[in-house]
Amino acid sequence: MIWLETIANGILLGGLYALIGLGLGFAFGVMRVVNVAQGDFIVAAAFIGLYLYPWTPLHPILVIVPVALIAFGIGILLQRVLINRVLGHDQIPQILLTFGLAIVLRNGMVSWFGANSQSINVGNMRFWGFDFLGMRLGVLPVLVLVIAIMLFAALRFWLNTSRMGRIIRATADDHQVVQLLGVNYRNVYAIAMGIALALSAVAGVLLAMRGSFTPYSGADRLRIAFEVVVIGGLKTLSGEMIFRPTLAGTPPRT
Amino acid sequence: MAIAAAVCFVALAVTPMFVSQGNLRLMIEIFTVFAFAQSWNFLAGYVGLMSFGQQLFIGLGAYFLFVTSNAYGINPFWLLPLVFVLCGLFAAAVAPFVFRLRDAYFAISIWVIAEIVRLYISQKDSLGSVSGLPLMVTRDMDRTVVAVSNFYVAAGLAFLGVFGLYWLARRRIGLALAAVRDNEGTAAAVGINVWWTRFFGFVLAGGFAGVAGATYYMSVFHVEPGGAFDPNWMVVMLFIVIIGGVGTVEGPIIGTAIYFLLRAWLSGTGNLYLMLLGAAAVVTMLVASKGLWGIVTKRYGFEPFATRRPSPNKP
Repeated sequence: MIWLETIANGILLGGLYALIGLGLGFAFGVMRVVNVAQGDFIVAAAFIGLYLYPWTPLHPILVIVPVALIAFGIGILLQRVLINRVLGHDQIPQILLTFGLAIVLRNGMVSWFGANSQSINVGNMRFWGFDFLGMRLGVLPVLVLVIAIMLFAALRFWLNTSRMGRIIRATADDHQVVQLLGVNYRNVYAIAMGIALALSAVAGVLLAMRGSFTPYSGADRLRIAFEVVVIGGLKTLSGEMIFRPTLAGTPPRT
Repeated sequence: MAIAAAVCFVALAVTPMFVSQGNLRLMIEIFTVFAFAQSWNFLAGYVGLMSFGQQLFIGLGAYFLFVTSNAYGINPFWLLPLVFVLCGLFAAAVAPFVFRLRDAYFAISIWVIAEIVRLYISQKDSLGSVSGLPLMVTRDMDRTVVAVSNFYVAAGLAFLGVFGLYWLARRRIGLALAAVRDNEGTAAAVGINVWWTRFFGFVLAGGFAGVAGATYYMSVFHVEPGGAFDPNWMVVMLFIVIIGGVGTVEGPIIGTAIYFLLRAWLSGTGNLYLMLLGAAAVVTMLVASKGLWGIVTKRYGFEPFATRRPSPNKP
């Protein structure tokens, strides 16, 4: 029974890991940009969540909405101000740029917030649980998985049906051809980076609710994201969702 | 160039006679850090492989040296060639796996390997676990002799990092490396074996970083996994190479000078100093992606270590 419970918990955590990888995979899929600072942005989002949740109405878990919006804005700024300037055939400048950014962010967070381990307090919900097929499952992990699946479904639906989603897919296929059709691919990239960071930010806040984080957690988050993307495959969104739980059986990282 | 090399060689050879032991230690550090940076520069700028885990070889080199020297009581200076071979072999062993990944995935995969090795060593009591290993053999040796020999090794590495790299870049294999870096398809089309060329570069950079790591930790007589496999080594290498200019022999020399000056000024500021290193890398990428040396070459056309030859039919 104990291993069944382990598998169930692995699947629950897997949903969250998938979300972490999704941001990175989405940015790579659309722009061929590997954002090495993704892990540190995830931690930064957790810090924003930490400071915003006391003001969140209804329930602390709703803090993901303002954090996602802020991260969306930061993503657009990041792409417009920094990454769009080093785009090109060569990937090395982007990777080094984001690596430098990661160092700045990480050490900035250490000096502002201290190196202590922090966690977002969601009140009693942390201890709620229910019995399912003889297994004891936590309410919070299940809720987190539901949010992750909903975000995956929503992103997929939006990409497949909306006008902007179509433009993003076309830009991902060939950013030079879309220019002929009157699309400024740099603006599309900015929006895509905003979405990528918003997704990662949600993952970061949810992770901070389930466990704890420090300013140094970014490196671990980035590794999870890479493992997710490498095992799940870069091209497909559903690939990540399916293969993610296989990794989550490994011991949780904080 | 041969004259410059000879002058540098003589200058380095006589330095220990005029320098106090404390300054000698600082120079050992400067030379070994320069050698780390140059190994990464070689990998990123000449082989075209970007790694975020070059600290793997620094740590491995140090551990290979400490473990073998302690186990058999051998003078560590004689073990350096062995360290080169062992680190090269390790690089050769992981190359088939990591070469399947590209760009950022390659970069991260080496970093992951460095973490695996660090965790493995941290859990092995025979390797000193987290508290590390001391170097036993040099304890009974004359301090001055150790410091001076250490200096010569470090100076030799720095010398190789400048003139060896220049020499290599102009050889047939150096040209092959440049071709593979610039365009894989074209390189293959002119008959270069892309995989083996890259493999050679990766193994050489790994072995060189290993010897440099062994030299560095030999000079402090103690090694621990947290320090030897510290990702901050990567930050330092990256800063030095990017600020100076990737893919040039001169760039990392300037980068190393700036790094040590900054460190002297900002020592004690902790995180601010690391933040500045990161910010400097970002700004350099935005403003001058070829680094400071790139600006010099562009403006003054001054390129003493030029690996490009002048075109035979100038217009």
